[in-house]
Amino acid sequence: MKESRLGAVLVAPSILFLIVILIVPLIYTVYNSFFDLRFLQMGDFLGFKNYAAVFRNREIWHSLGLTIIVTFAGLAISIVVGMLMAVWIHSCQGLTAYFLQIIVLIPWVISMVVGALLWKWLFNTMGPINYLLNAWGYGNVDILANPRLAPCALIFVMAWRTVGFAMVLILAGLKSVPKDLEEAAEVDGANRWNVFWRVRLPLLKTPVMIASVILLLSNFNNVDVPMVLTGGGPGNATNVITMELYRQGFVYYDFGIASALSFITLLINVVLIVLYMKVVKYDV
Amino acid sequence: MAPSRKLHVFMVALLTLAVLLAACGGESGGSRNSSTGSSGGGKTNQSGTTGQGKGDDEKVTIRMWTFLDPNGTSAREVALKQIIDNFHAANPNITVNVEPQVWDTLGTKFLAANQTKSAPDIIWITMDDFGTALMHGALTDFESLFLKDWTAEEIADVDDAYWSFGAKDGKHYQFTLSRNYIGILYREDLLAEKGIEVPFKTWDDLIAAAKQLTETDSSTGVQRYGFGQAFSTESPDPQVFPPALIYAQGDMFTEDGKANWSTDAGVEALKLQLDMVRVHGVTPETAVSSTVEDAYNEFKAGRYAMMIGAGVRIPGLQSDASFDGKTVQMTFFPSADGKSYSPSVINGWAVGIWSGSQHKEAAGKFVEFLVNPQSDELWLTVGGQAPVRKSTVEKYADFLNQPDKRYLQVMAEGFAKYGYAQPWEFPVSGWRSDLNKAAQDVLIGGLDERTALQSAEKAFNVRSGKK
Repeated sequence: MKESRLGAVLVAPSILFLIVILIVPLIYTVYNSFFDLRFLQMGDFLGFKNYAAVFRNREIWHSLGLTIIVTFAGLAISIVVGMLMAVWIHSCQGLTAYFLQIIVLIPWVISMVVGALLWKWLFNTMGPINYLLNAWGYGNVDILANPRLAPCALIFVMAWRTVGFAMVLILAGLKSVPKDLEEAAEVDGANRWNVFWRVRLPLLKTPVMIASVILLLSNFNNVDVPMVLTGGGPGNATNVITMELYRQGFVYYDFGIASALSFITLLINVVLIVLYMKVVKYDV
Repeated sequence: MAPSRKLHVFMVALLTLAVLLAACGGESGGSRNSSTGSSGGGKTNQSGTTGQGKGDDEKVTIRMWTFLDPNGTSAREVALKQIIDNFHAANPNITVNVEPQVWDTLGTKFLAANQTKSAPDIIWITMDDFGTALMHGALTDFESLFLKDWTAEEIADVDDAYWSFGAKDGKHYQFTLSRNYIGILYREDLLAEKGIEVPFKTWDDLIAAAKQLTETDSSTGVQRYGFGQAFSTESPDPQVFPPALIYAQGDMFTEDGKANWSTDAGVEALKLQLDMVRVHGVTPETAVSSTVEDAYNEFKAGRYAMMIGAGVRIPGLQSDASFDGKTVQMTFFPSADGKSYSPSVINGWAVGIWSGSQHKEAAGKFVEFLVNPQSDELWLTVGGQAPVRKSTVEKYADFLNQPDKRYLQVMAEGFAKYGYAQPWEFPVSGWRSDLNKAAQDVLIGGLDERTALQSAEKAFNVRSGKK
């Protein structure tokens, strides 16, 4: 009894801090979502009118669909490439392994804004990618101004940014796979693919799940990369939900709508996580 | 009680306590910052100022929000630092504490801070957001502070369209610094090579010149375009549409504050803007996703011979250009019929005093100092900014005639004769984004100009409460 009380007391400051910076703003946001809050002036109580306005807005539905595509496409690429990098690094030894880990981790540790700017310049028609294309006899490709290529560029940059994180978690998982299981499989005649598919991969379920959940949330709620890379354009080709949220609040000053959209986005995050876990049959 | 149930009760109690603390914290902070200036005996309040007395000997710190950093190296920032140093020397009991902010968040942050009674004493706010701030009672009139002591001559020295901006019931609430004029920035050297003369009389003259200037640079191999524009909805500046529309129909908004863009004149103006991309090829297709910052960077890199840009950015372009920066100049927007120049949106940063400030007198002193003759000269000679005072323009006529300073004369003439001050009586925030969205809807979405403009009008009107 004494121990549980002591534990509660010791944990209380951190819990209080989390409550103040997470829960209280969330409650306040939900509260604001029921009011007319244009230009930060508390106006009339609107009930669910802000939510109705959000659901009636076609742009927002488009943003939502686009965000889901970008999120899962970026996630899939990160996990697959992260897995491949982890397997490769796991097979290397010594300095080579460390060096490769550092290279792959760099996109994750640098600022998102810096990374997005870097790719914005690389994709520019005066940038090195088009320079190489011209050198090989091809014409300029305006990636960020093309409504079909711009979303692909966004997915690519998001995946590039998160590959390192996926690699680190999966590599940690690989290192914890018991060697005797792999050796036993080899003795039974399993080739390298079978060892990976039937021994290593099932045991990597936990780190893959953890990486997936974290990166899913990271991609879904990312505003830095789309804002810096494309600004939501061209047109609304990369206007993900976070861009729409930002625009409602900080360009149009309609904080009532922005609050409603924030809360809806939070609910979608929760639903996505729960669905994802159910699909892969993962028990918490 | 079982241990887990006790833990749950404990957590709920903690949560309730946190909510109550957070709810009460805003109110008590507000009362400390009461605009009535109630005595508080030297406590540090949320505005970060110390002391509450108005005596000359009492040390006072005033906060100012601006996008300029006195520790920065740009011309405007160097000028601001010198002005602050001069103020401190003249007023040793007042300290000015500058808190630099990202420029396009200043309006939002100030409105939010006004609500939570934690706004700075002095605010730099865009003309787009000034009307909103004024309507919400967030600014103090200068007449109650220092302006009542000004002579008629002093007032005449600053009296222009900027001075009248936001004046309500005979009271003034701002000085406009970093006055900006959006025009056509061009490279004098490239135009001279082709024998092109400015200013352009008609849009056709401009397009013809831009076509001549659209070529591959022989020395660098860079594909250069004749006319740079930027249609991103992020941090936008007005492009060709506003001057063309205003010249044709006089205003962009109706008297009751609705957007008035999808008229025949508006359709023609948008067509003119976008044909530069899709018909004449003088603006690259990348414009559809370019921000103004991208356009400035590409101009500096030699990608554009001309671009739509702001006069206040010219000193930076001149210093950072990959070519001889002194060749960067500015000219007016032409018109359809060539009889005059098209009015351009004039802008600037409205410097005002927060109505909830507990140091209005001290803040007023500094605001007055920011525009006194000595400071105005510093803004001009060090900051490269258009002066506020007519006397400064007269005194520095030779300075303004220097080749790399001629853009300031263009700006001054533009303010006086070819300027359009956007309305402040009703909220206009976001109109530039709306118009750039219309441009994107046509170029990318395939909409026709009228439909795109109607959609932009609707978005603006709904947002502004003018359905």
